[in-house]
Amino acid sequence: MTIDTQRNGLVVQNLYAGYGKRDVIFDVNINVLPGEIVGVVGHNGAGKSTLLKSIFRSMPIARGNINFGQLDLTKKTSPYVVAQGISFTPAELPIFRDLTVQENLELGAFSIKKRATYWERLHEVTEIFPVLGERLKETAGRFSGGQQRQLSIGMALMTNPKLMMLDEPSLGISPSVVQKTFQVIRDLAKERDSSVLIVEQNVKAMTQIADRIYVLRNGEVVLEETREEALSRDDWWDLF
Amino acid sequence: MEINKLGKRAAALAIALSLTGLAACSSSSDTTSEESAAETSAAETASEAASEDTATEAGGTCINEIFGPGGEAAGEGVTLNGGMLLAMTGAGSFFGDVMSKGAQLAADQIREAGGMDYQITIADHNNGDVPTALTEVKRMISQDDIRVLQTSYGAPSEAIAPLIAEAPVLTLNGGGSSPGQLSKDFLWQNRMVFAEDPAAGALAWIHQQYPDAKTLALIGTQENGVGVFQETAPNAWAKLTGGEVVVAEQHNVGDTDFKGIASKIKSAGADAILSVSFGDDLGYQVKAVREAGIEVPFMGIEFTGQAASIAGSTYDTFNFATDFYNTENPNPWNQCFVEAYQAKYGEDPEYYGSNYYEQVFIFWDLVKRVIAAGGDPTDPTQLQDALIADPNFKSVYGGSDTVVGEVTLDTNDHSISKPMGVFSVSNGTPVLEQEIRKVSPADDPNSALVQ
Amino acid sequence: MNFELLAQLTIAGIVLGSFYALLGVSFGLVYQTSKIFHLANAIPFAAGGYGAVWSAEVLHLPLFVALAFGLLMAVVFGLLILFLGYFPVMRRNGALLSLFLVSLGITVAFPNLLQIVFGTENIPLRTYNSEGELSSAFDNRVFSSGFLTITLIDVLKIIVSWVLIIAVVVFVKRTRSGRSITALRTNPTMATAVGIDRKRVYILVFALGSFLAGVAGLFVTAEFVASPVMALQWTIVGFIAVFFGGIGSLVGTAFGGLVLGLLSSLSSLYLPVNYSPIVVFASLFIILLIRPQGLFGKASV
Repeated sequence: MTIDTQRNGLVVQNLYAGYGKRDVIFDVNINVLPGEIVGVVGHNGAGKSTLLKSIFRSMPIARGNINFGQLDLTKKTSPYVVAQGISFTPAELPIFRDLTVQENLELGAFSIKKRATYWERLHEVTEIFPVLGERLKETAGRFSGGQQRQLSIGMALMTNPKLMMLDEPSLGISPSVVQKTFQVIRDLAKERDSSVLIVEQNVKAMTQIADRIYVLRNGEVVLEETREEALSRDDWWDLF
Repeated sequence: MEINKLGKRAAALAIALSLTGLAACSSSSDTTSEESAAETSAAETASEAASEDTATEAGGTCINEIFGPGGEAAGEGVTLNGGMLLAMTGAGSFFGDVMSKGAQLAADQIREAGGMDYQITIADHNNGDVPTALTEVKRMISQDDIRVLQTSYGAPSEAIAPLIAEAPVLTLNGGGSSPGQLSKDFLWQNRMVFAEDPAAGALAWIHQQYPDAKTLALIGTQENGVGVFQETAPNAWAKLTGGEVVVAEQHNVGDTDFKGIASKIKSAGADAILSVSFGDDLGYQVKAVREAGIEVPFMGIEFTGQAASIAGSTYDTFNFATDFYNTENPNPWNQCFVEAYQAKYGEDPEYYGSNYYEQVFIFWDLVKRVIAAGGDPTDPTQLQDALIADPNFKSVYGGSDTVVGEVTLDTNDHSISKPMGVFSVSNGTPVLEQEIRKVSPADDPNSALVQ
Repeated sequence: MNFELLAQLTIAGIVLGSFYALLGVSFGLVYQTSKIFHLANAIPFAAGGYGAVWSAEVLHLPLFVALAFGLLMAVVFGLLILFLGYFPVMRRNGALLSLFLVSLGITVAFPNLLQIVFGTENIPLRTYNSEGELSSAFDNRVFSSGFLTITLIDVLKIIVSWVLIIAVVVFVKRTRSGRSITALRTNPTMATAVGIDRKRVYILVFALGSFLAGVAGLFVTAEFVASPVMALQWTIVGFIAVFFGGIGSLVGTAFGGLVLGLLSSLSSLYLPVNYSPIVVFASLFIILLIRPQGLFGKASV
């Protein structure tokens, strides 16, 4: 694998991280190229969320390096990571339920200081997800699971990220909505030449969207495949 | 004076802050405060040094003048281990502070005068916490080998009575004297019983000054003066005026909001108020009552500068009846005491400091008597026997400009009789209005007024 | 029914309740956001009072400058507790219990530090007058109408408390910084995800909370005195107001404080005044049983 540091790609090298003294992920090496959609699949507890949080710098890492383009994120904190154009959407409760849609989107743009940019992005996001535009003043907690998921992605898009990281975006929504949402994400990534790193248990859904897939087992990367290779497999389950 | 003290403390604060590495304050304000602090503390050191010279001289000579020469007969060479059970932290720390200062000064003066070597161990009863008091007294008996004890507060002093009788430890209480501490072996009071002793005189004085007053409001706590609140005051008031108590409110010790009680007193239209509350609470009460527009006489049974500073100018409308300690008393021992206290601590002594100061001199007197009789001056039993044989002691209370005052302990119930009075307050300073004496509940309360 | 007494006790209850509301919002800001049981809110309270008294006497500052200095000290000491007490524990992945113990320790130790530095005496607020003499800084005027009375400080307590409470609520609802407080309070993970710096929000709420505690300390000092133990009983009232009114909402907390004050004052219509703490705690207990989210709190989802 060649790494082109001239382009803004994510490169994770020899990463160890965990809770307290106990590491959850071991010697993980992954990369995401600009415009590329990469999936990480694995069981519950395989270390998928830990990997995302480590990259996002919202949890401490034990060893290893994280680079984003020219930038070394290893010793940085989340607010810095956000400012560099990386978004993170957690699996559970990815929105502020007590606030309105508009307030949520405004918080999504928290790192954007310019008011004009905010309005511009709000306009873009409501075009992508018209339902959000129609219901700007409604309390987000009243939305359906799928709409909440759309809002969470809308919030991430408010910063026009160069890398979107999504933790289990299919959680709690119906397969048809998953398919639609993934289509939107894929189109956006290709259109904007931005990268996406998705973590999923749902392998089937992943093969619909990802260009490349890593399989994580007990905290270690055990396999890396392109979508074509993955689709040609009969049975995924022996990998888990 | 006040400014100097604060300045010096500011310096201490600056040190404390820099020690903890807190250079967070802006550097400019830091410099100003440190500079002014350095200035004032330098000034204070100078004045302190000057006054300390004269004080040592005055202290040494005046103690010998009053108590006789030093030497073996005066207890030189005898070490007496004394304990103190005080409130050193929290809300009552002011009391522990002044009580220990009084005792420490007495120990210094006695040593300088060629008397006994009085060694003090201080224990904290945590604002009157009984279990803590018991533990601390046991510890002082077993570890520090105390032979005499200066206790304070009502509840802990009642609780330690069996311990000190068994050890034994000759004990004096000059703080919270309560009826429950009377007639206990080895436990003696050197203040009048709180509220109980001055109550009749206080009410008789109100009746004399305000003959039309018929209805009385009572304020108190469940800690001290309960007997006065429930019986002594209502009975005496009925005897004096034929009137009745229209408001009787007990509050929790440490309360600061007395608007509710003031409203009730105002609504009931009481003609006079008697409060048996103590400490800071009394200051909050007087302020609340006056700010509620109530102008009837307000009588308390204690005066502290602490409460006065809380009440501010409203305290000038306050009266109180007690065995009040007066720094202005010309009694030669008192003047010697006040001067030495000011020199050592940079402030005036007050009621509690003086009581605990006197206690150490009572111990010294007893030590001298036991030595004269050829006994062991560190044996608590022999010390108490000497006390019972002659319960008269010199005092900073009473007396005149040529005569040292005298107090007498009651060998039956172990209480004390001291001069008492009803006082008014002028610019925050007490002024004697009327001398009073203790009378029994059966007597006419008017007889408490000394003619 | 004695209507004069009822009216006077209601006035007293509103004064007390407004003060409780101020303390509740002060404690609530910190507690809701950080979940730290910030008992040490007593320190900025006392620092405000001592700061004013000290600067007026030693630095010869005029009244309003001394009050401002007191508020500055309140904020400084509030932030010192955060930086020297809480942040080090948090960096070691501190549990809430450890943070509470730190808070408890500071709360117990600070009055002793005050005693060592300023002595055990009560210190009234005094300023230098035009003749260069120290005199009482504040003449607490009494306004009366028939039976009813209210003092100047009480009027100021009501006005200042509610102006500050409204200002804080508007700030939290309407501004970007304010919304970061709500975000961190309601969903810490998402707050991090959108790039909110948790440390900055903590600094913000501790500064605001300490400022409000300092204002409360100034009121007590101006009305009575500064003393080493002046703060603890009041800060405890602050957290009762939070649980009474509504854990999740500042407005709920403020109204909780007001109701608490009225309850405490009006209970003396029928009961001796030493029952009022019992009335307060009994009501808190009942509220916790039947409305665990607090009197005005939204049910948690």
